[in-house]
Order: sequence, then structure tokens, then C-alpha cells
Amino acid sequence: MKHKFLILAVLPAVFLLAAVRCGTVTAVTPLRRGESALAISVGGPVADVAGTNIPLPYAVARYRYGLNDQAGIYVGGHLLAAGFGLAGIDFGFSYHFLQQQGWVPTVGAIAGITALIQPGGGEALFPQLDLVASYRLGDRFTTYFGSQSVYQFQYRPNVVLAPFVGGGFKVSDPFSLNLEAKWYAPTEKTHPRNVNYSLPIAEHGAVGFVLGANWLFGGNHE
Amino acid sequence: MNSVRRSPKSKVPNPKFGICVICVICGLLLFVSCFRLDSFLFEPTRVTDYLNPADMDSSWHVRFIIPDSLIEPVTLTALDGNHIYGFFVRQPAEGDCPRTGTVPRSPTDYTDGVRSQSAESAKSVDNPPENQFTVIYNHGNGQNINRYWGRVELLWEAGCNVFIYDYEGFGKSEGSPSGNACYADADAALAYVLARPDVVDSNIVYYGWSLGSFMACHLAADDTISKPRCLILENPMASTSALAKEGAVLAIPGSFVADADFDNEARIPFVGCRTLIIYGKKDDTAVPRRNAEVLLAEAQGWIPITGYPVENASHSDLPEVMGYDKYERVVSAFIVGDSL
Repeated sequence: MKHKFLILAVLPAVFLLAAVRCGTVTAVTPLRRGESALAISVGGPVADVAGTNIPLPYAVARYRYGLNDQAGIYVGGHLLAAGFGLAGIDFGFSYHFLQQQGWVPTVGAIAGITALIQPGGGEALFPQLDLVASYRLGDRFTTYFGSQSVYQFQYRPNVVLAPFVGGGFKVSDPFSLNLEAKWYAPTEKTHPRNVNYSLPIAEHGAVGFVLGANWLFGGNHE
Repeated sequence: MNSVRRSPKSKVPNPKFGICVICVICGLLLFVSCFRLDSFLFEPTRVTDYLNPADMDSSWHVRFIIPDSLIEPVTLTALDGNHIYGFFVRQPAEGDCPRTGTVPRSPTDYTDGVRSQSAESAKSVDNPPENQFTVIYNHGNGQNINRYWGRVELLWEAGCNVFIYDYEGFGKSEGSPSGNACYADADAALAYVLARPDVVDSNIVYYGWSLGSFMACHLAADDTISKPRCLILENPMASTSALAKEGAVLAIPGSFVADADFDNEARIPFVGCRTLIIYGKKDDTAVPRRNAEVLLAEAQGWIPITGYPVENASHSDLPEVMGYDKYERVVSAFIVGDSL
């Protein structure tokens, strides 16, 4: 009985990602005005699924558009939520108020909403706010860190955090990859819980990994 | 994403192809809906015959203490036409000679709880004692009646008649399990018990262990058919929503993850009888300890409810940790109405 319950419990846990900014961070650096980006990412907290420790494969596809050199908008679709018969989307706005200069990193904030909608049923909306700081290291590498947060008002914790660190690598000119490590829900005890999260830190939260692929296109500069 | 910016001289890929691929994947997944959890909620096993000692696991603590003469096999017809199987275990009546050997276990036919003519004529107890209690036992999500027979023995030892049945898809019962089927099976079980002349309607007890708590609570929340003596929930679950919340740390409706309308949180305020929630404090299978506490909190102020936490007990060993005598004493005391 326990084994089945483990599976039962692990699957809903992917929703943790849906609300805590599933996928990689939406906007590490700003787009240029008129520039677009298409990103697909997959990954999540590492959990014991039938005896194997794997990052839960939450997949997200997201489109961004640069309103100007500092601000942008985005919309994303949650592929695994679709597997539950749900429409999972997120949308929002990003604004980078600092550009990299010396030791000062590029710093931005991303505000948005993730909505999970059941056709003919209910819905769950989660407001979110992310902060991210990044450094470009040469032409090909970028490193970044920050924290994501999701807000809920009828269930504790009211704020679910997910601090992260990540790195990006430009493979070719329009194409780049990035990898993030996140600490999901660090304020929450990992046990007892009906999901066996494999990588807690100090018995709190769950560490996970997300891999992303990005394509850039469009823009006035072409 | 977008951690590396593109240089101005880059070539532009055709984005339409990528967008089309994403749309196709999303569309397929929407139609597939492959991750509904209902199939994970039930873990039945099939048998061709019940109560075969060779099929019993030692961890089920079956002692075979009930004389065969007191065990009546029952076949019910569910609303969808499927046959479901159960056993009515009665207390010895005056003149009974326990342990007199095997009796034929030919099922008695019932349809939607209405006894057939042959079953009617087979009845011998016309005036049941007023202090005779009958437990409808709604079992958990695994195995079949065999796995819960040790529990039936405990309740029988405590002095109760017991009716236990298999949900559709469990044991010999036809069909496949689902939330609606389980509720319909529970309704059929109640109708059957109410139709027995040797059962005092006001002395019926609904008992649910784990997943069975949903069926027991379902019966108790609808007192238009029968007002039970009391409701006993052992290591109950609060709801599928509570399970999802527990795992995801987020307020997610249960309907997002399962079709089954398993929601004791919503039903328990409408239960029309005294309720006992007995739970192990070390139960971490699906964290019913917290589930039990959620239910206790939901019911406070609405119904007379008693929580009975058991130290060191987990999900499946509650009577063993308590000791059989104490378990039986607590359950029978609650049924009678004594303080625990």
C-alpha cells in the first residue's frame, strides 16, 4: 500500500513546480526591444519514484518578447499539467533595473501569475515574484542567482520560496543552454511528507535541477 | 532562460516550426490526460475463493477464530449490475454451537439490498437483541477482504456483527474500482444490512479504515436512509486535495489530480452521529496523522467527535500496537457510548 501511495503522492508534487516558477527562470537578462525568445525547460525537485531518485520532469514552454531594452513580457505553457487534463499557463512582466557594470550585476524582477485551469472544473491562481542577478562571463557564459516566490492565501505557508543558482552557455549564436539548481520550499520540513524528496538541505525543502534550451529571434537590430 | 544574448549578426531561425511542435505536444497531452491518479488510489488483488488460509499473509494477523457457522457469504448486485461479494459475520445466538465444522458457503443473493425469497426464508433470527451492534466495515485501498479478515475478527471479538464487502474490482467483486463505484458499493452494503431482520437499524456502526474512511463518511453524511449508531474512522484520509497539498506544499484542488470525489473534509461536518477518529501518531504512509487532525479540526463545533491518537502506531498496525484487548475495549466502549 505504501508503494502506491508514494507514487500517488509524488505525482501531485510536480505542481510545486507549476507554482514556484516551473522551468528555468523566465528572464535572467533583458531582451532587446522587439526581440523574441522561445524556451523549453524540463526538470524539478529530486524525489524517490519507485526506488529511483530523479528530478521530476516538469516541462514548460515559454515565449518572451522585449518591450524595450529593460522590460519584457512572457507567456508559458505547462506541458506536464496538460498531462493531468489541466491547462497550465503563466504570464507576466519582467523589468531589469540594473545593468552589469563592474561588480554590479544585471538585476531584474519578474512578476507574474501561474494559472492551473481544469476545463469544466476549478482553477488555482498563484501570484509570483522573482528576483534575479546575473553576471556575463565573456561571450559565452552567464552565471546567475536569485529567488522565486509564490503566494497563496488559504494554505500555509503563505509564501513558498525557491532560491536558485544557475549558469548559461551559448552553444551557437541564437541557441543557448542553461542549468539551474533550486531549493524548493526551504522553509518547509521535508519529513514527514507523503513525497520522499531525496535532497533536502538541513531537513528542509527539496533540491532540484532544471535544464533549459533557448532560441532568440527577431528584433530591430537585424 | 535567455542567459546568453545573441550577437547582432546572428542568423534568424524559423520560429514557426518550434511553435508548431510545442502546440502539437500540448494538444496531445491535453487529450491524453495520462496522469490522473485514480488508478493509483486503488491496489486491489483478485481471488477465486475467500478465506483460504494459504492466501493469508502472516502480517494480516488472521487467527480464524470465527466459527464457520457464523459466517454468511453474501452477493450483492451493485447499481451498475456488477456483483460484489461480502461476508456477514454474526454473533452466536442462543442455541448456536460454535466451531461445529465447515458449513456450505453458498452466497445469498441480494439485489440492491433486497433479499431474495430464499434468503428471506433462511432467516432464523426475528427479534435481534436491542444491544446487538452491527459494523459495516469499509476496508482500505489494498488487496481484498482476506487482508482485512483479522480486523473483522477483532470487531467480532468485541461483540459486534460485522459486514465486510469488497468494492468493485477487489477480490471476487466484478467491475473495476473507482470513486463512484466505491460509493455505490457502500450504499448497496448499507441497503443489505438494513434489509436484514436480525439487525437493529439504530445500532449500525460505520467503520472505515484508510481509504474506507471515504465510504464510511459518505454513508454517515447522508442520514436520510439510516441514522447510524456512530462512525469510527481509523487512520482516515482527509481528502485527495489534502494528499496533493501535502506533497506539493500548495493549495491544489483534489479534482486536479483525481476524478474520485474523495473529500472527507467537506463531508464530516454533515455527519449526523457520534464520531471517533482513531489514528497512529507515527503514520506517515500518506500522513494520515495530519489528515486525522485536519478532520478533527473540520468537525469541531459541528458534530460530537473524539480523537484517539495512539503513540508509536503507524498506518497498518494500530490494533497490534494498542494490543487487541485495548483496541476492542476502546471500540466497543465508543459504540456503547461509554467514555474511552
